[in-house]
Amino acid sequence: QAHGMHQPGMGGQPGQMGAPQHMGGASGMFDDKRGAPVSSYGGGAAAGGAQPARNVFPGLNSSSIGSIAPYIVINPNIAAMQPNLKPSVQLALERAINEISPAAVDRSNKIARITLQKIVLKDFAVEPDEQRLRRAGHTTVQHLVSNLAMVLAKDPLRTNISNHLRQILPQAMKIEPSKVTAMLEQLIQSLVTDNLDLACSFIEKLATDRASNDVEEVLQEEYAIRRRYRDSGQSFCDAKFYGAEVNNLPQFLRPKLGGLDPSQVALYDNFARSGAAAAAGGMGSSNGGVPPMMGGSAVGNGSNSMSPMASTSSSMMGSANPGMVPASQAGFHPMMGGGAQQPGMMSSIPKDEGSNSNVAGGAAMGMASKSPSEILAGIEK
Amino acid sequence: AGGGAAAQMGPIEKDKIFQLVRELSSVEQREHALLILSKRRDSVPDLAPILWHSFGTMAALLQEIVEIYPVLSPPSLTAHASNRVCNALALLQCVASHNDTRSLFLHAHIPLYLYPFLSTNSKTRPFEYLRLTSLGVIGALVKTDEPEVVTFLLTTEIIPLCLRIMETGSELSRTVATFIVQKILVDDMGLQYICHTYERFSHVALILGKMVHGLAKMQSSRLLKHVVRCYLRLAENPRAREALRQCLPDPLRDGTFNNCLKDDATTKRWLAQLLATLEGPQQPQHQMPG
Repeated sequence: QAHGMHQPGMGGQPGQMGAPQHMGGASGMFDDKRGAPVSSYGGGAAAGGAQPARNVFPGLNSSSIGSIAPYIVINPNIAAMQPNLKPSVQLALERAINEISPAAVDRSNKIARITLQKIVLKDFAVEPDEQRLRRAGHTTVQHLVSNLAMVLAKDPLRTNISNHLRQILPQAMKIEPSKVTAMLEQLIQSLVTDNLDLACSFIEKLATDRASNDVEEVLQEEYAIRRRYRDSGQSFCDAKFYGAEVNNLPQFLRPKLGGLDPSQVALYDNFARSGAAAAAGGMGSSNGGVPPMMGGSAVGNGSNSMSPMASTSSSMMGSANPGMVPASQAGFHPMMGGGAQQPGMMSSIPKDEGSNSNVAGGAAMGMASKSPSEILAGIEK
Repeated sequence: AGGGAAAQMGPIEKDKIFQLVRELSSVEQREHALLILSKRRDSVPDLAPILWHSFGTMAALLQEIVEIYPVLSPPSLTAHASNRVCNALALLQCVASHNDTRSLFLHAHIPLYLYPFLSTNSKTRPFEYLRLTSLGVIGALVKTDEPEVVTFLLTTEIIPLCLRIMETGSELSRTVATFIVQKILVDDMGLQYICHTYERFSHVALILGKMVHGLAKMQSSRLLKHVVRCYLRLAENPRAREALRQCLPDPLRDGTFNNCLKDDATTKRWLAQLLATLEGPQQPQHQMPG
């Protein structure tokens, strides 16, 4: 309760609707010498051909938020000027994690649980071996949950960590709170960029730990049914997933009766491998030929798409609205969260009306198998 | 497009499709199969049930989607990766469109996997294309006017996502996003939901108003059509009608769009009907047909 003002409002604070704001990427003076955190593996294009390498933090323990401490990175340039920032950074990270994690953990698990029930169980409708189901269920859900938790948490974390640092740092550095300078903003952005992956990974860890329990809960009954069939000498078939539609398919597209064949098992094992590949840089150049990208940095090819206006208005928004961004702004049912919206917030999202007409020329880009106007035509028909 | 008019395929062609669907399950062959299948999806009438019921295909498509998440923020989606995931989305759109698979698609909550794409901000082409294709999947769902679809969408955050794209997106994205909101409004429960609190209504009205002012400067008749239809439908709710009497943007009243609408009799009629409704008597509860 002591930090009441930092907690996200239960019903959503006024003015929080829509998706989180992107903060401008760190740029400028602190960027050149980034302290590499723990082990940062290179390579790592997975099946999608797009996975950037990610930092891994093997010692994170989801039951102890303090386990982030050894991995906090402070750029040597900053540390030289401000030697005692680590406790402040840790406090900001912990507060932001506590604010963002409940919704991200809950939502990622809810989504993946339904996928398990509707997609994985469908594919395992005639698989009698509960151990195979268990392995596929866990690898699939872990993969989905970690990606979902990360994508749900990342931008809200970025915003909230920045906001907390904006409150904490002036005190820690003995700067007048009113004197929030451009340099302080740059310092904050650098700290956020260097530690965002860490905060995100902690939330992913929370989410995947919870998923392990959830999967077992969902599958208990499935294990029992398979055992019962085996004990009675019947071959297992879940009729609700294995109807005429499946029988109309050629043999090689159906789940194999009596037990999946090795290539079918391999498809589900691939979920585990692609996750591992993202972390450990496996399978890199085996397909697609996409050059591996370094993760975590805002100075990659994405930064030029971030207009200076975007970062300016975001930070202006931040200082004009020192209240923390509640989870409801992170795309977690903003319409349902008490219906509090403040249109003014929306208007600070930068617009580029002038160029709108030319942005989405998918056909002109030669990218699409179906151009946007075709998509549109298909819808309007 | 359900593909009802597509020509019957010979057995060889069908075998080819089955083979391509099988290749979706192979990490090495998937990219090529995605490309070919997404191109030919409209000429294969029953591709959707094949995709849904075949082993591993939906899991493989979901894998394609979540593996793009790490490059959404900071934005570093390449044209190549965008194209690949959009091909996967095109196949999902096929599943969303088909009468036999739409409910399965909804019950598995697959659209939720697309929402992170809709909340991206980057204006680069790979992102624009990703958002537009994702909107296309939702658009294919709402196009069918099924209450089940609207119920699902109302329990998720699609409305604020659409509103933000209506405010900041490209003309094409705005049009699809507005179409989705229009389809939600046309449903009775959707209209009731949006008009249930003043905050919801005013947020929708605010964004529509901004769009009208934007359209006054840069006219687009296909976008205007959906905007006018949204207003017309909102005006069927008594409280929303009262509010719109006050806040309907001037360009809709003062003939700004006369030229833009001269070849669009339907929208012209809708606009006239809207103005007549708002100028009508304050009290009566008369309902418009349709």
